[in-house]
Amino acid sequence: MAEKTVDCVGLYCPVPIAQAAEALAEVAVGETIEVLADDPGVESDFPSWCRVTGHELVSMERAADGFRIVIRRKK
Amino acid sequence: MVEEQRRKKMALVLCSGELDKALACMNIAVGGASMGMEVIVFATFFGLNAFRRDGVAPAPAAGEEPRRVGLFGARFIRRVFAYLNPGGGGRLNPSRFSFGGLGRRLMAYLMRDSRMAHLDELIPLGAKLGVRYIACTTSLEALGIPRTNLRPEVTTFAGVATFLADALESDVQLFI
Repeated sequence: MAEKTVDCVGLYCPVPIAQAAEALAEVAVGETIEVLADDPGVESDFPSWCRVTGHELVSMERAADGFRIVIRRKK
Repeated sequence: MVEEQRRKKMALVLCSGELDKALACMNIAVGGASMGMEVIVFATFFGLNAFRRDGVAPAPAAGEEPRRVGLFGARFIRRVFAYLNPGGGGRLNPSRFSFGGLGRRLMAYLMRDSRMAHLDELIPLGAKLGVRYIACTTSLEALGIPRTNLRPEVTTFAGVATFLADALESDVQLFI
C-alpha cells in the first residue's frame, strides 16, 4: 500500500512529475507513492524521470481512464 | 579509437512553426544521424505543425476527445483555431517574406530549383536513418491536434521528463 496518493487526473505535463516529486520528498526513503494520471505523456515520462532521479518505478498499470504509477523513494 | 567511444547523441527541440526553423532542425537532425549520432527531435507547440499531415486537423470523433473541463465556447474556439492553424510541412510560412502564403510557395520553388530537400523528404529520410520523433502530449491537447493527424514517423508521445532524460545523455542540445 502506498504511503501517499497523488491524483493528477486531468492535469498535463509537467504537473504530474512536479507533484510526484513533491509527494516523494514527503515520504521516507524506502516508502512508496502512488500517482494517478491520464496525460498520455506519463507513460514515457515516469520511466525517464525515475532513470534520472534514481528512484524506483515499482509499477505502471494502464487503466481505461489513465495510469496508476507506483514509485519508491530510493534516497 | 572512434569505435570504442560511446555513440554521440543529439537532442533537438522544434518549438517554432516557421519553415526556415523547421528546415534547419531537420537538416541538423538528418546530418547528425548521417554522422552516426543518435538523434531525437522533440516537437512542441507550433513545431508540431511540421510533423502533421497536410491540412486542417479533423474534429475528434465522439469518445475520442480527451477529458475537458468544458468551458463555454472552448470546442468552437478549438475548431476555429484548427482552421487558422493547418498542419503539414508544405504549409509552413518562412519567418520573413511570408507575403500571406505566397512566400512559402516561392521558397518551395527556389528549393526545388536548387534541389534542396523539403520537409516531406527530410522527415522520412531522418526516420530511415534512425531519428526518433517525439510529440509533446501537452501541446497536442492544448492545440486540439489528434494523434492521427501526425505523420507516421512520429512514434513517441511524451512530456518534458522524456526530453530531459534524453537531453542529459546528449552531447548536443538545441532549441529551435
